[in-house]
Amino acid sequence: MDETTLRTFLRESYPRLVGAVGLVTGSAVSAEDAVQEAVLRAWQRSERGERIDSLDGWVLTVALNLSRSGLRRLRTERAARGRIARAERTEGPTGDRLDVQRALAALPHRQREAAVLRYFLDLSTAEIASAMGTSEGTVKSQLAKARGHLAAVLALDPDEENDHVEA
Amino acid sequence: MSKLDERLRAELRRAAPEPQTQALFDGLAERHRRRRVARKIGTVALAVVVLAGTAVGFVALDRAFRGGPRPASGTPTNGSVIGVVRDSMRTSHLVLYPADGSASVNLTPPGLGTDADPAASPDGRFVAFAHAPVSIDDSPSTLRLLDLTTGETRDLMSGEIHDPSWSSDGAEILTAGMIIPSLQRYDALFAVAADGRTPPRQLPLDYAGTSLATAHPTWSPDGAGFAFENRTREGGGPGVFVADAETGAWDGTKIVSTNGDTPALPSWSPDGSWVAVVGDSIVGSGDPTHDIVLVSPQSSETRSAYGDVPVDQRPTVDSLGWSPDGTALVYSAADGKIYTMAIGGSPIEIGSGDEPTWLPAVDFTIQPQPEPSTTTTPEAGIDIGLNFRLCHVESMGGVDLLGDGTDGTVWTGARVAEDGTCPDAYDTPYVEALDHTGDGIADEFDRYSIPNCQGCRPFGTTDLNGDGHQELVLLLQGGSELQYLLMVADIREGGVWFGPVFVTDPGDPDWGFAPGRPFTFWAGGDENRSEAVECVDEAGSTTLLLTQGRGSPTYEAGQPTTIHETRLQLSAGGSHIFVVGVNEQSIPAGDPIPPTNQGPTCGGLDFNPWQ
Repeated sequence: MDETTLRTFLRESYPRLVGAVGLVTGSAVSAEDAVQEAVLRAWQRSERGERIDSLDGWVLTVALNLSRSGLRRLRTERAARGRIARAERTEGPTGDRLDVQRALAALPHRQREAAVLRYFLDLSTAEIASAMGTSEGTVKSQLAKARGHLAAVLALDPDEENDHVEA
Repeated sequence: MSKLDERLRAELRRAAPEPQTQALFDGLAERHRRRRVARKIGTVALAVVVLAGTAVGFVALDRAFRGGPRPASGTPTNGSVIGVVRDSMRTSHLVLYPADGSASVNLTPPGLGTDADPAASPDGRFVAFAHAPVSIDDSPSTLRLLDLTTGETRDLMSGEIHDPSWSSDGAEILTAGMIIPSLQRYDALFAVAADGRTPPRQLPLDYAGTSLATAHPTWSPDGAGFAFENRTREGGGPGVFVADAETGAWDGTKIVSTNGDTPALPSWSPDGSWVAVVGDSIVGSGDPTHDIVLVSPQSSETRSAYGDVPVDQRPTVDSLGWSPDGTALVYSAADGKIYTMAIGGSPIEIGSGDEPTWLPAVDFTIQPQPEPSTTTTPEAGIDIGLNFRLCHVESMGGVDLLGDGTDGTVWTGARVAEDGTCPDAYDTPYVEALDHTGDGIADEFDRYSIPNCQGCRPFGTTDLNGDGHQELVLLLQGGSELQYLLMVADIREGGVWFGPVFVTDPGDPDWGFAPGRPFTFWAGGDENRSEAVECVDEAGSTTLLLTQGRGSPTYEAGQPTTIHETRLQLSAGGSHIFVVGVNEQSIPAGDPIPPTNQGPTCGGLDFNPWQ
């Protein structure tokens, strides 16, 4: 991974991935931690001569895995290496943004991941399945449940809904 | 797409966090560079072990500092450059970039280990470097000396050493290493005799318990002091400091402090006038890795080493050194290139590589590493009697898990891939295999798959319940915290069962011992957590006492440290382990985290990595 590739990734993909992981975890700081850690691991792998075909996909998958497993240990290790911890942002979400985050937070984790990958990152069912390490059928069922729940909680017009979950 | 889908898209996009990306690359580049250093520092499986004795031993024997090296006379002429070329599979080797511009040649063999941090001796005959074997990523590195006149090598000091540099008289090599007092681990600086005739000695650097990492030591040419890079617990980020060689005193004042930056990679000029560092500077770039700054240790005057080179055209430096004549620098950058640059000049690329060191001109022929012969391997991996071959194999003999006197063998390894090749050592499941008949052929395998091996291997055997059947201890992953798995073999339903010991209900799930799960445990730790393993005799039975210390994971000031003890005993048949007691207490913040891993061993097995 050369500097140009990484700079391009950080400029074009990093915000989207942090946004997605942030919606899943409910924490912008945790999302940045996870995505940055995934980027660093990708960087290390590339230095070992390993090829990563899709940096976006690889970083997304690893970042979601990290967010699932928790970053406590990771943070401990990082602090041990002297990185100055960033202060948690004091500003929290407000208004509609808070409603959406609450609605997402109420979803089971797998549904939340599926919904974010579909509606925020616009990934296909196959891409979501790959990122989540599950089958396309499972993704479809998780998406259907998440979609219905979000529509209800966010009081979206049911007339807008149809029964189709796109593949 | 339905309207509802569109609404959900809009809602999620509105709710998503929007991260700042300014200076993100540089922050990650810095972390990446630090992590490479930290990996050398932080993934040690063994503490510093000195060939002539333990670190503690030689410190005790030779605390008195004997004075630094003397300045060299005469000014050498610049010669060739030596750098590090990274291979695949986490190995690297040393390469010579001849001064005449001819093709580079290998000085150490590719693919056989990690050779890093080369440092040329002042006379150009030797190269000191850190060497680690290829098999385990977390293996401790050895200070190795390469004689360029013969191509021969010898080891001067083993342990987790890094960043060697030479005294100006060529008599000593200054290197960073690690010692572990009560798990409050920190790096120390060692002076190692280049001729190996006297034990290495620890420089009297007073850390006062505040240091997290020390790296890149560099002698002043007169031997009166040394500059080094250090990070502290309270101070957080790194700084470059100068300590007095006689007393080790350093007052915590960074020799460079410009715009709150993080200067790094100090290198003292041969004439003693300057310390070159990587960091922000008078150009005020705001980018700590885009400038090389020369700092006068006498006057604190600073100047950029670059001439008329725009800041955005300066490579991100990750290794730095001087030319023998002191008129130029050599450095490597994040673009994977090595550059030389006259002071006040512009960088000149000399080749692909990392961590360069500049030799003086020499009047002998430098011996290259012979090119390896090209032989074909008909089949990858080895055949141990299973219906598949194993790659990346580690084995241990003298194993008697059934208690029948058999001299058996255990193996760990990765199955050969479907295409007949060996998979990546670090990204594939591993299996364990057992020969319980003593014929050297595996009889059982694969009851517990190690997801990916980070130094996994058979560690040893013990007999915790005293039934004459050994239990096998596997090391699952290395690092500053070692994870172990306990395995047993048993006769079940007419056959031999080989698998892990399981935790019996209720276990101690909050501390890593969930019922129904294979029993794994940890030993080691870092400055904020620790795990100790001891075997104690309680009422005639051997109890495994696992003590875990946890500081605040967020390092909040004043947060106490939790010390948790779990006592476990192995069942009569050895298939299960059950918790017989727990105990928990808190200790004040800032107190050293016990345990010290100095308790009784388990049948001769000492799980403590800091030995």
